[in-house]
Amino acid sequence: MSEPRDDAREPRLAELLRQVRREQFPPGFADRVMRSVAEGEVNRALAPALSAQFLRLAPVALALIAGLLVYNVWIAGTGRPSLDQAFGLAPVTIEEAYSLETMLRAGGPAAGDDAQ
Amino acid sequence: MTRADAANPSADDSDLALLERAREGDQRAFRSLVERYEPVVAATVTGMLGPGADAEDVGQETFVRFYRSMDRFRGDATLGTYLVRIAINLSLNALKRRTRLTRRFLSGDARAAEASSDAVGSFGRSGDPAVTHERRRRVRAAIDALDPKHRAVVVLRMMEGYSTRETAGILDVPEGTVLSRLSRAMNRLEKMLKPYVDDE
Repeated sequence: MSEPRDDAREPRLAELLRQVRREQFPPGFADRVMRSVAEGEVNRALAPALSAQFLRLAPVALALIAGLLVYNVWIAGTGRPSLDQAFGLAPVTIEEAYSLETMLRAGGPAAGDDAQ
Repeated sequence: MTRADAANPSADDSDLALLERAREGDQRAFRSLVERYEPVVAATVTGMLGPGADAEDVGQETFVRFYRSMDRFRGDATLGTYLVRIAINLSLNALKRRTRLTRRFLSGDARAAEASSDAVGSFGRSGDPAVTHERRRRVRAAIDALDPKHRAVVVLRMMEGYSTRETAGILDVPEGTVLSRLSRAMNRLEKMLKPYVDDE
């Protein structure tokens, strides 16, 4: 079949370009390809497994998030941080801090109170 | 050996047999296909990207993609052509990424200077090994200076020996587009490699 070539330059340029043609990758190429293929197969097997685990855990996680949301909304009116409420921590105020110091002084000189 | 030299009915039959076994999970059959078509893929990819780590990455990815799409290969084209099509598409993607990185770190002036720096200067006397090495470097630089679409046509048509129709089929463009890109590419190559072309 005749090739639509009307350019006499092509054969000369083609011969020049073929001088830089390379027919091989560095040695061991086939080994590297087979390793990549094997790794790809492992990843492809892993994806469904991870997906299955995610589907099992997702409802639990969503339930926890919903629970925390409800809890936060419920105690929002108290004005205290939710963690303080949850762990029964005493509120920390200036008055409480001074009260504690007073209690400690009642038992003896406070540590670090050298300025006085 | 270019693709034009590789037409061989018995090799094609053997390809189908190996492919069938590879589809059934025979790793050795797939490896045989890799070894058989490494030259074709290497020539295509290094033609597009130049030798280096990028080219090998794309070469590996070509075969990995082929492995994943083996079941979809219907035999409309030869296996070699199918692999070259994958290799060209991946090479064009790699060139786009390379261009984005280059644009980010090089100014327009620097890029133009880089592209033209090897197109001028003394070409020396042929026959001297140092001159041969320099000629190859300049030829490589001239190919690298081509637009990716023109480069693909040059690699397939001029370096790998595909016909205009085959090149158009691989690139999924009309034959007229192949010819116009080829003509523009040759204008540019001739300008950059004029002393070598005149020497031939």
